[in-house]
Amino acid sequence: MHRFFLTKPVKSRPVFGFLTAALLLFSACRDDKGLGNGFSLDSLPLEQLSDYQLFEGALKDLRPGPGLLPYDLNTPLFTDYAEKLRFVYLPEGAQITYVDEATLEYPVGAMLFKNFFFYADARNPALGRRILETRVLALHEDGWKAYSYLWNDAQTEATYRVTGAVLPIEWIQEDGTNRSIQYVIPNQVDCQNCHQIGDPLMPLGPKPRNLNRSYSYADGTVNQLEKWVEKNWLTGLPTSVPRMPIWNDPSSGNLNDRARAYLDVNCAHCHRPEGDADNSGLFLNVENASASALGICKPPVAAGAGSGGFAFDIVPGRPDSSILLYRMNSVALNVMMPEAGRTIIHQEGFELIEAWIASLSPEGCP
Amino acid sequence: MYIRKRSKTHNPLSMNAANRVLPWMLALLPLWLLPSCKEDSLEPEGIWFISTDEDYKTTAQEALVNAADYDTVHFRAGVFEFNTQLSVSNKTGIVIRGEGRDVTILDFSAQVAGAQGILATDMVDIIFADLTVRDMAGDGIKVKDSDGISFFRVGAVYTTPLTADNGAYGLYPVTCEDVLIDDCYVRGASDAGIYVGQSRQVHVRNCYVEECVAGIEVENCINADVYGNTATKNTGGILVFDLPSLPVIKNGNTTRVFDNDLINNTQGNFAPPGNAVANIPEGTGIMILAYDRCEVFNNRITGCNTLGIGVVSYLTLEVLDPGSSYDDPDYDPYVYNIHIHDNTFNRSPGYPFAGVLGLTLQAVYTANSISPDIVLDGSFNPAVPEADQKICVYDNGGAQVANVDAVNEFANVIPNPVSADCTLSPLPETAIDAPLLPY
Repeated sequence: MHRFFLTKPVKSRPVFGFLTAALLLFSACRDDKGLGNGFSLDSLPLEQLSDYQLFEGALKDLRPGPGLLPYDLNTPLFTDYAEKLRFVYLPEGAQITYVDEATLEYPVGAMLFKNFFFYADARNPALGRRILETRVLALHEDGWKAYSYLWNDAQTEATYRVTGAVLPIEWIQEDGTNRSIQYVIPNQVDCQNCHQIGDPLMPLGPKPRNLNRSYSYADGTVNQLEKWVEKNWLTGLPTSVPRMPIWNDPSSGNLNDRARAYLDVNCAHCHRPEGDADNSGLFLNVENASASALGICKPPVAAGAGSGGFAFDIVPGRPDSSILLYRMNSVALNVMMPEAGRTIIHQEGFELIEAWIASLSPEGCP
Repeated sequence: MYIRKRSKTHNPLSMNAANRVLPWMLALLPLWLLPSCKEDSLEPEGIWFISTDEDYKTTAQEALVNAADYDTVHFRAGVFEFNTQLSVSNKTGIVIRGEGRDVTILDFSAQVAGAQGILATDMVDIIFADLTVRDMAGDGIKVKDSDGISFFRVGAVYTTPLTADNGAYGLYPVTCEDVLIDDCYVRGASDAGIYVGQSRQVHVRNCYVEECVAGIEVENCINADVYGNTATKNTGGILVFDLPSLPVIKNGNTTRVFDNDLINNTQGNFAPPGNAVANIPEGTGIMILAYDRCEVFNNRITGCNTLGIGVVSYLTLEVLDPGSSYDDPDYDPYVYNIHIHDNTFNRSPGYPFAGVLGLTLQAVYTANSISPDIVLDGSFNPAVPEADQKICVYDNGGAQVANVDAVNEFANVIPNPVSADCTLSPLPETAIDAPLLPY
């Protein structure tokens, strides 16, 4: 029995839990990649979020300790109007290297923490919030790995969970509307399916062009990339970095650029040549320059009910006949896009893409 | 390289090895219930049993995440009601099995997340066996970017009425290699019951597919054998399609369709418009679209009067359906090297033609006083020598053949075209290396 578990440490049926625990201790002992917080990279995922010891004070305050920096994105992924607090962690002395506008090279031991929460009343954050989950990406020697933590109702702790969850959530939107949804926390495989770009897992949001914006840190407001350089966390930053527009801020980019930014962030983790939807031939990444691959007058592939009875993904000038918009405007599981990450319609995102398709010319498809 | 593929050095589930040691495996059956860490043994490394009397919504997905390579996730008999998609990825040698297609049911009628019942991605050697997935919101079992996939005695069933709201595909391997679908059952899919897309080395055999739009569809594949299947009460029985704008395999080729029973595939087309199969007229037995190298033989086609066997270029689809236009310079819309022989046809009298294409064909048949079993669309690629685009039809009993000149809007219909009076060398059997069940 003992040999069995030494060779197969991941198999942890409940009855053998103590052996697994012993093994975790064992691997912690042969720590060769200490992260400076009393645990090793090999011991990940830690059972509780608090075990990382990266936050100060009450865990639910999510107040970053010295190894953590908060960050924000110009255009984020829509996930049922959940609010997000994001942090990057670097081991002491480690540095991120700038590669290009879409790529950062992180050092082994780097971690990204993304916390999902809802304000009870979005009009008045002081009324409190409920944190649902914390998603962690950690860079091991052999690549990024994804771990998900589920918060308890008391908001005192978040526990590692591979299976995801479905949670009933109620809140009041900024416009005063009461919302109530079944919030879906993805399972670990779903995490991989979005983050796997080609073979390895990759962070999706924090690309230089999407990080290129100011942030109000405790000690002042400054550009995030410059802050990272100032902290000696980032090297190789060129004097000028392209900036992804803020999808809902017309002063940050024209309609086309904001629509393309929105599609890139919300769709292109799958709809790109290396993504999980490569079989569809629909590529919504900002780098794609082919109108047909962008969906313009392109017949759907394997769309099923997702076609909505329409012939093309995008019909220029005719949002009402465009499959892409039809699928954004649905919550039916066999119709809606993206397949994962939302259970309700992103009305403002829908309106952006609707306006963009309406603006495309010449109108119609051959 | 067209798929992401990991090394396949350790493959204890391969066909030959399994045949060799099968008697030993049976003799030692009880031992497999014990876990083992022997690297090259054939027995499963570990078995995760899932039963209805536990918190299976959690334990099943937990097992799929935590399973080590060569583990089995074994669902006991019973009905398991899942509200989210089950998913597995990046593993080797995983077996997902039940205790019988009729006794282990994974039910997704209350699904709130995920577009499939089960989604498997980036796997090497995965087996699904002896279970049924039921009433998914979308597709049944989708397998993507994987090498070595076997389905044995798997069901994928939509029990709901036949509408466009049903999931598109029951069993759905796409961008895969070495695919075996054996003795499976699908009912109610709004596109293809069994759909293999953009894959290489494929066998679909001994399956029974009913009341789908397309029974079995092979789309943009290279090297596929479809044999011993029964497709009945679908809109079309078996489709071999090559479609434009698909990035992984541009031009499908080399497919054999033989020894199948196509019976009364007269279901009204309920595919959502906009999908290619929405163009299939009810009463279709076998349809070849834009393929290169296809041999269709020894099939028994009964009561499929509209297109017993249809051979069609994509040009015809464009003529009939303006929504079929495409922008793909690498795509070849023509049909090449098709042989159709030794099939038998039984027409049912008084069959009501329906749908745009069906009614169009009926009018063409009536106007020309023909009742063809085998229908060619008459397309011809002027840039390719005639010898390289033969469509040969022979030894089909008394079956009628017609070139309906569809690309010229049926202007010049030719019954029993001389051009079809030819032969082609048989295609070779498709070699596959798909995993076999260890127990």
